[in-house]
Amino acid sequence: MKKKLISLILAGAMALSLAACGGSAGGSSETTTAAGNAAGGSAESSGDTLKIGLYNPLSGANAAYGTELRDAALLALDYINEQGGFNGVKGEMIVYDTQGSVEEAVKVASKLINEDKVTIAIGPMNSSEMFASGASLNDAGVYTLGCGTSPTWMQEDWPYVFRAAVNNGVTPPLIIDMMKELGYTSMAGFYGQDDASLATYESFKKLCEEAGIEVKDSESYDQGDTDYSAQVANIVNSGADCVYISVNGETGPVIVKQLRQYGYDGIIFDKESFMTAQVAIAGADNSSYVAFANPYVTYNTVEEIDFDNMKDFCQRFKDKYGKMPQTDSAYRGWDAMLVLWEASKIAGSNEPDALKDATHKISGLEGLGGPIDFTPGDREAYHDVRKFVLDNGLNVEWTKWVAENYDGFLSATGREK
Amino acid sequence: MDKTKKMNPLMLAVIAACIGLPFVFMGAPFILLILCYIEIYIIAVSGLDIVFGYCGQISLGHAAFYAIGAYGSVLLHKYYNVPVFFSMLIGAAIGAVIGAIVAYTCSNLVFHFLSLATQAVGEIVYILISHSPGNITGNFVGMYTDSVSIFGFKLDNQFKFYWFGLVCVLIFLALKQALINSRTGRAFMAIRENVKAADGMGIDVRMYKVKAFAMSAFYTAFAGALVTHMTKYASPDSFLYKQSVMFLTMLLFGGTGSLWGPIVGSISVLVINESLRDLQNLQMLVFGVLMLIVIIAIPGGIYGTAKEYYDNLKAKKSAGKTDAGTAVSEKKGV
Amino acid sequence: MFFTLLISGLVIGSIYGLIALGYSMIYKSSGLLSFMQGDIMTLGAFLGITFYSYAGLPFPVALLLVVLISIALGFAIEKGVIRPLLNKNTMAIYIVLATIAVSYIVQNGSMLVWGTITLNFPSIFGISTIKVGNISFQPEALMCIVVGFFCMFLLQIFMNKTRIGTSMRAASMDAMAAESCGIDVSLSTGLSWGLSAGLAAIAGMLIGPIYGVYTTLGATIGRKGFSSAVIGGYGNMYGAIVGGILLGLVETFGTSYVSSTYRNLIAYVLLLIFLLLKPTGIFNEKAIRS
Repeated sequence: MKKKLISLILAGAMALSLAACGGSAGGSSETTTAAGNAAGGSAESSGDTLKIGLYNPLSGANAAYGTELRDAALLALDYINEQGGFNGVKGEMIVYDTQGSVEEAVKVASKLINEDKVTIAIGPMNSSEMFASGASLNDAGVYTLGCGTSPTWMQEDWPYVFRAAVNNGVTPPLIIDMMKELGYTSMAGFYGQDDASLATYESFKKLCEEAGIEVKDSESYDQGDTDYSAQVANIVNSGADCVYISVNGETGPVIVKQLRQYGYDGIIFDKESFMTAQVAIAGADNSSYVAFANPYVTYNTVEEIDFDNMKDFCQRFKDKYGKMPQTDSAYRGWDAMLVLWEASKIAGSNEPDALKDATHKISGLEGLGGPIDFTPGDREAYHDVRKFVLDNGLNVEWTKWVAENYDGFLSATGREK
Repeated sequence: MDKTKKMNPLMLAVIAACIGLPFVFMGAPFILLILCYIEIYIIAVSGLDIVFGYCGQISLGHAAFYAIGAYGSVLLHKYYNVPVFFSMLIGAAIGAVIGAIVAYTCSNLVFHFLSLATQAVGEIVYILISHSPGNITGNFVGMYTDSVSIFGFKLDNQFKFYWFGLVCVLIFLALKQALINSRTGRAFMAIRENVKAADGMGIDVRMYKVKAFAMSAFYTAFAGALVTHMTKYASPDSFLYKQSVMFLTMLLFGGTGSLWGPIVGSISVLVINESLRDLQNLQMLVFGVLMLIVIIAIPGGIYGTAKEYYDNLKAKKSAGKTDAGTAVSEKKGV
Repeated sequence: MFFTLLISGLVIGSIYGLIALGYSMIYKSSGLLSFMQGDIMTLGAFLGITFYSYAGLPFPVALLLVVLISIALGFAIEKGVIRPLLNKNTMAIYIVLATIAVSYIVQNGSMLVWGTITLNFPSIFGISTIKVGNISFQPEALMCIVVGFFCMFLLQIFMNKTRIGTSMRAASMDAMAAESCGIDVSLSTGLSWGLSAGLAAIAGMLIGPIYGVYTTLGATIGRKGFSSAVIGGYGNMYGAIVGGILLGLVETFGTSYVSSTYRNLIAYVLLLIFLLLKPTGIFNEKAIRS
């Protein structure tokens, strides 16, 4: 009897969800016509709200980054809606979890395009998810802002896909400059096997060879690993002038901590900013002398922020979610929405084609990481990034640090000649 | 005999649904995409059913074969210009060979340790495709590939792909039924019920285990090739350990050792997953809870339990008649 | 360099070993396989942070609390999930899948409670590095190794020399016969699941300060733990720790002296080699083949 009941309930649940699927499909056919009309030229009033699809890993390995990105994008949406929305139309966010899975990303992108009929999407930060879904968004003419930082997927010919985050490909030459500035002639590297980390490391290694910096050791790890001690021991033993790490967010603090524990006290160059959440794990002492080139850094308090727009954003974020943003993916979510808003203002329309064309005209927009400029035509927002170094838990601007604190660093680590 | 007649309306409904659904949802590519995924999973899970449901050998590493089929096909197409359909078949055949090797070397392992061994195989294949020598698989970046094309006819949208998938499903299910009802299939079941007895009866246990694994791997590898050419992109992320668990979950949801179990399982899990979509990051949590409930409450799976209930009902109805014999043979036949 | 590697190999090895101890414990007492050890470990680390860092309890108290809660949880899972399945006489695969379902629930549930950001487990001893000559290591590392061995001896004695341990082993060999001898089979298997959850939680408390705590912390370690258990001899307590340490050392030295690219291959290749060539493991535990 119990079995029978349960199977009945299950069967009922399935029938219901099937009906729900069918229902949403039926419902969507109405919006099809609406969108069809809009595409036919009857301006932007394709409904009461402007639907924006956001899909990102909200569970699994990269959940921390996806979640903050979503939170910041929702915050931006509230802000934009308060200011009158997109050309008078209020925005509405549809959020899905990709679970870090390619299959889910494919399904979710299709659902956004075909069921929810979005014309605008905020894409995932995982490269593989973007690779799997980017083409379908682009082919459907969905105006998309990708949020990953890897150089690779932006090399695809997707005219509808833009990026409001930093391209990690632009940072290696700057790191090389920083190394040269200090007269370093050798380095040891530690990199992840994931797309973003690997691609950046490869280009960095190549630049090193061109610049005459000797690569004394290269060590790698896989996402999901916890213990890097063997690699760290090799790096420390290589006797290189400095260390370069190209790793995923949660690995950063662990590797920095382990490098320090195994006795390396020199400068660690990071492919991305070393964020508050990471300093908390590695410890402020260990995080000192981590240097990087990035448009933005994370902060412990609103007070310590020098930039007005960043201050304003962090205050809003803190007011709404009760804590400071701990990763820079929050900034990416905000910037993406800002770019969308600006494009809609320039275009005077919310149509994806108009947005696409208008985005190329954006320049001088104040993003969280400095001026956003799409005019070079490479669909990238940031071309100029700042250089920082962490010193006692604070992000210090690089040139200032070299001028004022470098000697202190040398004597503190017994490096003065 | 009257049983087959009774099944007919149900069969008709299924056939009507298979043919009708794509037309109903022609304007809804997302639903078509889910239908295509259902087809792919039916093939993959039916493959797992051969080795687990019929032969009683557990595999926690079927994602490995899924990956071998996918990457085998993609690489053959990319580097040797093998047309996509043939590359899929060859990819699946490679999967079968590897499956046979795994089964041959592991044939002495009992249940639990076989699951550990197959899990290790799954991990090893994952590591190899994501750290391939010379970067031939594109490693974590993955690689793009073409859609299936048959005699120059490209299956480049879900509607076209659905029909191809349907044909594949029918062929694979028919093959499975033929296999199960053959001498080989009966040997599988003998091994499942009692290895020692099967051995005593003169069945070459090792050889049949190898056969079961090879067949199973062929199915799952072909499904892997299908999914990759449908999405036109292969990435190691699709072939993690959790994919192996997904196959097993579907099989147990539906019910093992039957034609319909994998079908019911694939459909129900995919539909449940889609209906949980709006929960965002709660989706996996709720799915875990549902999984646990199904396992505890109806360990026979949805189809298995429903069938058992139906059979009991029939047995009660015809208690006086001499129907018991047919019911038993029916149960064994399916 | 050699000693540095030796220490880190021993540390990660003892963690593998603690996880493997749990596997062996469950196998020895109920003949079953659990796939949730890794995630129970993560849960232990999260609970540890909560008691030690947020509630400000002294570390030993926090450890004791976490272990007790985990034992209760393991016991409850056995009673609520495993036992009903065993009573129904279902295939063992359902139990495997049920433990996988529990691990999904634990992983995604802890994400809801503790969030997605990696949490910092503050240092236990107040100092971050001990320096001996030119070798430096964390005090927690030393504790890891000591606790690993300590648990191994304790468990081996418990299983072989105490009444409960003996009854647990009897229950796994023949539940019916054990029952008729007056052994509470249900209690003893429940206890073994509880104890193994406790072991996993200890492992979590130990590596929390070294690696930080996040939801997928235990996933890989949980899978590699199987390798340690098989290497040592599945079901053998000494074997679990020795297998774990062997795996930890091979991984660390292999990564350092050969290459870091295929580091994760080592555990699985070793697992296969042992299963195929020496399924009884180093300690010749006669529990495996058919």
